[in-house]
Amino acid sequence: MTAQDLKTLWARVARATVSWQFVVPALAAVLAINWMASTSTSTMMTEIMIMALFASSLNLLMSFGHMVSFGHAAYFGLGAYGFTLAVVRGGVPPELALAIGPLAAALGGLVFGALCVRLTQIYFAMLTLACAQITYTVLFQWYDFTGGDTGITGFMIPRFGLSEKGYATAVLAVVTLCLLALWGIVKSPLGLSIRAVGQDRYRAEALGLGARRVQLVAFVIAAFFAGVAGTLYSVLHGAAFPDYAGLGITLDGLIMVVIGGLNSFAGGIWGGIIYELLATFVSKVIHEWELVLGLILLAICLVAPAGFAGVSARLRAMLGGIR
Amino acid sequence: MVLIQLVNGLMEGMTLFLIASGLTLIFGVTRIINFAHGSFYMLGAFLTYELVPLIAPGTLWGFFVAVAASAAAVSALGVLFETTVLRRIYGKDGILQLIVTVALVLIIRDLVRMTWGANSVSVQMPDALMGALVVGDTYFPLFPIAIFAAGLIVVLAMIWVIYFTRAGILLRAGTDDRGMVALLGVNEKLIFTAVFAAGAFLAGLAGGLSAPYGEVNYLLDTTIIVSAFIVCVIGGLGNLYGALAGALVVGVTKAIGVMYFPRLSMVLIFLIMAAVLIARSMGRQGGPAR
Amino acid sequence: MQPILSARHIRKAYGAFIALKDISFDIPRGERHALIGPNGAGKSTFIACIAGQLPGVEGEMIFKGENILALPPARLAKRGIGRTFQISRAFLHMSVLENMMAAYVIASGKWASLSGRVYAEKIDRAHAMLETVGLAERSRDTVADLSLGDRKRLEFGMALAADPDLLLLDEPTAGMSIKERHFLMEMVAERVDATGKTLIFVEHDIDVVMKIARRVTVMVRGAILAQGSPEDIKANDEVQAVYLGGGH
Repeated sequence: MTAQDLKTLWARVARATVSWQFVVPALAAVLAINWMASTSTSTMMTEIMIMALFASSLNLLMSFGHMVSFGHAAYFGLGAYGFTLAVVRGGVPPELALAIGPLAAALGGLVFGALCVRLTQIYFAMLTLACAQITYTVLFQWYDFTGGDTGITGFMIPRFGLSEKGYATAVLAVVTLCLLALWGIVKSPLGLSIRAVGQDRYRAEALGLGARRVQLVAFVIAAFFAGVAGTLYSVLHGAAFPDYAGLGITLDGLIMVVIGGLNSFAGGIWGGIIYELLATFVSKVIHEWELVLGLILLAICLVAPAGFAGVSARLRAMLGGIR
Repeated sequence: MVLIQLVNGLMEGMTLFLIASGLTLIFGVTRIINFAHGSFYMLGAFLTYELVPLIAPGTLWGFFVAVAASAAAVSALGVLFETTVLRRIYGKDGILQLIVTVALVLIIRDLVRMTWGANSVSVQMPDALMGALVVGDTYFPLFPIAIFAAGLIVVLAMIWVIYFTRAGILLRAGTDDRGMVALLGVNEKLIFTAVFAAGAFLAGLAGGLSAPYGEVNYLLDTTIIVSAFIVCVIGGLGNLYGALAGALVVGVTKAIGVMYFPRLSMVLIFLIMAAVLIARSMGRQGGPAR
Repeated sequence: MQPILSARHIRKAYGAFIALKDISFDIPRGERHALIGPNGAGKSTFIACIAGQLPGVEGEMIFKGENILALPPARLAKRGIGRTFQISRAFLHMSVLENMMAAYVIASGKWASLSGRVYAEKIDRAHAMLETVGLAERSRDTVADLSLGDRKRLEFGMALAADPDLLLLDEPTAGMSIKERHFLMEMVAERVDATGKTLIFVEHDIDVVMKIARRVTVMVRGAILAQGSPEDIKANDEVQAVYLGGGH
């Protein structure tokens, strides 16, 4: 293979190219549905997009860094509360407080992450759980500051007064930008390093990469984007509740990543979409939707471990398309 | 007052130990973190609720039979799950193994909700244990003491099995070196299934034993599994003695915490786990030689 | 001239088992040094000591004038130590090209960069190295699909990416055919000499040792039994007795 061939190959692999031919129609479709459908549909779509972002942030850790976090909801919650408390206790105008949510989450990611990356595998996961539960309990118990178990509500007009459709459009823009940023990160040298440490920590170290530092960076980035999701969610409902940092949301995120497809970039996106759609529609038909979810998960793990992304890749290969 | 809380703490610690020992044994041998362990506990409680009125209600022996039967049923369910699902997942990605047990949690939880509704149910305590033990001028509730004693018997039985029977030797060998056990011609699949069955039994047993003393509802699984994880982590995953130590620490901390720092007792336990984990991370440096 | 590596009274114990009992020797710059001995002699342990992977090692390990015993692997890599592993480690689910690029990106220190500039800077070097180790045609393939021999070659190329002054190879030819073995080690020797680097390799194949090594250290049960040129070692009766000139 000549040097030029190699460069071409590398460009295909490494450049953060976006298949605009798929993305643009998808965005257009979302905008169209949003415009035409009812307001409750718009709200549902907004929630889907937010969760897709949350799941994608976790996906960065899991699919690329091979780090399983049992406490990712902490950063979702910190994002929500960072924003909310800035407005309610800090007197910051909501527009500016939007930046504080993700920053609070990133800070949390830095502090907790610095401790957690000292461990690996199951102990790493357990410490992330401990950090998240401590966060949750503090939010739950510190009534005077965080509003305690009743949370904080009524401090702003939800969605900044935008209509459901308007907010959905705004969220679409923000989430798309965030996902593009994540894509760029994954394809960059940083992404390559994160993947290297994720695949073989000792090999990476022997080459000169400080595994802990790389993992910490990945952790903070993931926390940041989870925080963005949390802030957007808080604005959507005009409220913040301790459950935002609870184990439920963490498990939801884990389930989303697996459904969407471990070891793929779009796993978080697909997972968020599928999970939320299932949750909304299946629960209308059957009261015991978690039972259905459990069975679906079993099916995926046993039959299609690559999740939706894997299945769709196989379909595309079968239909003759090359990716 | 403190003494009574301590007694409660002992019972809770014993319950936690029964659950955590099952969890840690399963991990030690199969390397699987069984999220559904809390669900087994919950099922044990609900099944006991169903069986107690049917088997000489109010009597002591009726209660224990009901509990044992429930535990056995839970164990059977565990075996079913292990053979149909887990067996296919053993070599695969750890995350998949985890999610599979999470799936079981979801399934069991909804089945429980479907069968028994969303409200709490209460299990009738056997008549003999409804009273209190009077020492001086303190009334110690009899039930927790009895359950502690029952749990102790189970623990002794466990120790006997693990250290004095062939099955136990295989179990310990399996925890240390799975390959070796396979080489010895022992059926690895059988060991895995047996361990899972035993673990599920212990969890179901714990659920049944503690059922009369607290609330029995469909939220039981999440509250208990987190505590069980903490116990295992504090003691070191796969370490049975560690689970004992961890259970004592958590049980006592919870009991005392509930009394003196009610708002912080849960955080305290997480802080302890975090501290143990961080301390463990300090003592580590360098990787494996290959 | 100062030796590039000086081991002084290296001792490592695992509880009651003493893996290394007072190892001391020097490696001059540019030498190709083989470490041989029966299984369990402590060769891999010693390599791991140099590579910073073991805690609780006593003694001194002087590399380029500095005691490196307490340093972690990543720092040692920055100081000029490269290694391959006994069981070949590369990034299994990434392609050959990605592996090589990763090695170069890491070596450049710009691992945290978000821009593709370091890629453009390093792609030519990555290509050259892939050609050197004979894997250019397989750039597209995932490492998981490579044969053992190819993986070892890739690993070797990656280890060279940072241009290390000291190369540690732990049984680099284990599991390979005779032809592959000689091909790999000749390439290694040539590379090392051309760039003036130092090589320490653990090897069981005596033919390879004879051909490639300039000096040999024989280890038995955690201690040095003999040291000298390959011919001296071969003629050494004690070595013959303990090691019977064996290979795989």
